[in-house]
Amino acid sequence: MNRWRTKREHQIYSSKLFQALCRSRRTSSSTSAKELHQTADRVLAITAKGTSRWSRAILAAPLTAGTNMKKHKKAKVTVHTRLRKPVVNREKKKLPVVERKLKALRRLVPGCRKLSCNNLLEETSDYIAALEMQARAMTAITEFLGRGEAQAPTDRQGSIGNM
Amino acid sequence: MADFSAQSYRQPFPFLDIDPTMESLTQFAELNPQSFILDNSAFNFQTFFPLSVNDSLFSNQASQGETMSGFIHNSNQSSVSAQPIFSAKTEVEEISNKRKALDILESSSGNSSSSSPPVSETGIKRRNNSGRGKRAKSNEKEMEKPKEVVHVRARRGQATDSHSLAERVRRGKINERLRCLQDIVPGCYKTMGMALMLDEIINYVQSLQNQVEFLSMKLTAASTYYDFNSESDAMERMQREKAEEAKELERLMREGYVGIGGVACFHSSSTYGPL
Repeated sequence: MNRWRTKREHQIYSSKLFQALCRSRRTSSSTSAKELHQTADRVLAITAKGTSRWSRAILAAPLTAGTNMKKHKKAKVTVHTRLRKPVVNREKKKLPVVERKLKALRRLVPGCRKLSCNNLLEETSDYIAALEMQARAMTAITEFLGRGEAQAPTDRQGSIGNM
Repeated sequence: MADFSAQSYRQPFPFLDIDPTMESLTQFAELNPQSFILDNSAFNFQTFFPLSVNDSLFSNQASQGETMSGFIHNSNQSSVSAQPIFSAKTEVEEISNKRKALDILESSSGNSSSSSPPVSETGIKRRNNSGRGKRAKSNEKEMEKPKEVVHVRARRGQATDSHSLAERVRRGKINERLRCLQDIVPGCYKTMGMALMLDEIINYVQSLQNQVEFLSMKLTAASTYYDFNSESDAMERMQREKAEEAKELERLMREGYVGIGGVACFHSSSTYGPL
């Protein structure tokens, strides 16, 4: 939790992210936002050094996991459904309120689908701290690229103007 | 024998003379526990136990019974002569632990039965004997595994069976984690219950994830205009920038202390000018 606040971690992450960015730029000219997002997440997980569950889950998930959308099982509509007795669901109690929210939280944090409440909260705090650092690092890199960009076009325009 | 035991009870802390009292203790423990307690009650009522008179009867007897078994247990385990003071100190703690636990046991059993606590000695005796198994177990657990088990103090007016204790520990852990999250997540105040807190946490995580997604789009846009091929020294530049920033901060701080003045600052700022 506290380690994500240190400047050192911030530097490590941003430098690693920049390297990964350069590498991906050199290999393939077109980088979609999704790819970049995934790379950023993976670099974040690497920076976590495998101490947290969500980082291990991010690294373990294959590269194209985002495209394979899990389809929730839909009830198959067949002819016989009308003949069956309708299940009375109105009387069924909804799960307790807190449990539902914990379920939602489990869906948000990667790799925590079956975690207990206690461990889930711990993972969440680590995850939130890591996400904050990721956001800060990405803004810093964007600024850096923006500054670099501000200088380069001036040179390019100068050369184009001369031509 | 009775006189000798009376003397030993009058000076429990520190138990420097445990060895001579050992035999008497074992004998007493092996004898009828009932008569043992009855004998003790007479002594203890007049002695130093600083409890209030209401619960002195129960807790004194019960604690005495337990401390006796506790001392025997301790002496069996460790060499008493070597560490008399240390064992005395732990025994003091154990006594206070047991006293409190037993206090609550008594009060909780009184509450559960919803009857006024009986004043008669026979009633106390019965309760002691029936509840002794439970208490002995829980106390033994505390004594045998001091390093593995977290010491849970049952507070006054709360149940002390193992289930509620374990649940209380679990709830305590969850609340601790929640408090930690409260500090991290903005917009949470202490009066919020678990459901509201979780709402806030979920919202915050979602917003952070959205922010990162948005930033990644921005970064891809920014990086398309950036010439990466000529950026072999980009890493060095970035690191240099950050190092310079850090150094500047450090220098400023140092100058704040030493008071050399703005000359050095001026120099450092001038070097950043062309960048």
